[in-house]
Amino acid sequence: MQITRLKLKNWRNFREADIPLAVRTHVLGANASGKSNFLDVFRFLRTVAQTDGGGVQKALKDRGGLTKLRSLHARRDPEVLIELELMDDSGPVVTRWRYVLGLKSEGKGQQRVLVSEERVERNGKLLLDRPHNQKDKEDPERLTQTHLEQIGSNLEFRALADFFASTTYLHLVPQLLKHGDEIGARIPESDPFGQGLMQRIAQTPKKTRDARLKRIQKALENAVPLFSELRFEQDPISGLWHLEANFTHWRVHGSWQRENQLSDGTLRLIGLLWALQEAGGLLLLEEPEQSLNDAIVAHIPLLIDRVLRDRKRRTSSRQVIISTHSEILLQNVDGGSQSLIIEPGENGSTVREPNESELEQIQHGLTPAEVLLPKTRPQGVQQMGLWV
Amino acid sequence: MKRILVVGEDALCCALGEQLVLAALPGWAVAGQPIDTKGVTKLIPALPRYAEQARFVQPVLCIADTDGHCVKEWLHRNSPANGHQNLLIRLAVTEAESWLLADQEGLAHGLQVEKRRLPRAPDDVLDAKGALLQLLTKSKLRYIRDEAVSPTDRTRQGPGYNLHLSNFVRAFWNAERARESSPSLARAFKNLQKLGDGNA
Repeated sequence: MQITRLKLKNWRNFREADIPLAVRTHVLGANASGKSNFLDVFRFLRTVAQTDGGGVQKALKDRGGLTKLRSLHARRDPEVLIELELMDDSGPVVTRWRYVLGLKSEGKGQQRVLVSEERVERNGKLLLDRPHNQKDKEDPERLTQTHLEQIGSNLEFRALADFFASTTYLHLVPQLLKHGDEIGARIPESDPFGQGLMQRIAQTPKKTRDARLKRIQKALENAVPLFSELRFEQDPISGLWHLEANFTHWRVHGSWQRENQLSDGTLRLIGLLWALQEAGGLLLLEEPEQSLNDAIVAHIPLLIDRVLRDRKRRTSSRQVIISTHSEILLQNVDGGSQSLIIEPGENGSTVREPNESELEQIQHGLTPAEVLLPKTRPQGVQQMGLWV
Repeated sequence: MKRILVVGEDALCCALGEQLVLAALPGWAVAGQPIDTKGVTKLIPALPRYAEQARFVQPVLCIADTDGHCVKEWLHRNSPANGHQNLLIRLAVTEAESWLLADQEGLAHGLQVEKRRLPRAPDDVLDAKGALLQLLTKSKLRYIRDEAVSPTDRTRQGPGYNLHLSNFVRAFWNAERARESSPSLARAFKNLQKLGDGNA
């Protein structure tokens, strides 16, 4: 399954957006322009579709309620709307889906958030249309939940719910993994910040785990100086699983270091390589270039390419959306991927594809990094630098 | 409005290229922000790509330093095989800083340095950057003295060198004035005008 188009209304700092999405999409923008907010749409839908501890009310609560979610630029029309077009090419025939979710505050009484619209279409045929049906009219309470989150109601579009729920978001924060014990932080569901990476690795069946770790080891051998071996061991006393890396030095056997001793870059690379190998579904990568040496960043597009190439062989296809500031990363992507540019403005941010003249420049010699990245640079920096 | 892409080997070359276009090609606009290749070693391998851009999309002005090499030799060695009349490679003799030094009035006013210390023939100054840095250490502006020149080694550039000099070029530097005293700039100016006429 793959998302082919996304429309937004009043979503965080986007008053409106309507953009096509490719198998691989790069999201570019200045700081605070809304790159993470853009990726958050898919995380929101994942929480809505999750069967354990998910649902639309949970997704709203995680984000501080609808008032925090709704764009500040929504003046007349207070509805928050997400519309997606999807394509499923895993079967012999291509199936096209459309899912629309609108949310609005009740406007009276408890000010609950109600579903103002929920529509599902398969190949143009309407499967669900809320709230224009008898049941919703009879019992307004039903509008506090979506049908996407209800196993009893989503039978006809279960594939859609499963797809949303399988989204992976990765923004590994090495410090959380290294100092998890001291911070004592709760691990959010689906572990976006990588604190639970060890548990996730441990939960993977041994054969799959070994195969993946072997591939990671091979990559690390080339990327991390002095690194020689990777192993995944259970501590005999605490019972906790640990990732250990061996670094060669003057002693014959080198030294084994646990994940909390590894460098930030090594950890982020391990997290990235693990996420790329995990099963299908949408993969959201937040600035994968962080903490990594430029020479390694240059290889990230190739890594992602390899994952995408496997797409045909797998039953579930993998789509990747990457937010980035990195020139090096963009220099190495090929022309087939899509870039989206987020531009902040007085009426909220707008997100757009490259225009015709930009595409022409890219087609004839220039790289997306040369054409598009300068447009996301804040003007003030060039004028005077960062004054303190 | 016609557009031209500016490519420079550093931020200063980019700023100079922008001002050159503004002065020599009235009615033209610089296509987006100039591309800073961050070093001549990255500019040279990219030249065939810019030649393709010049052939199919828009004229390209590339600015680099000769760094003491002979211009003819440099061009012979590094010009791309797919060169095009719309790809204009101009080299500052000996460095981009020579072009900066060529506008004495602008320099004295914008960077607050003494005019009488400025060289008459900047193209003949062997180490233009060194000469400029020496002038900057005597600037009346504190932020130029403190940031454009390295605080530990007064013969090297400081962390704010590119930023302050690029801003100076945009705000004070005048290509018309500068070409009077720099023959290499005058040639670049003329060729740019010729490129404009060719695309009229």
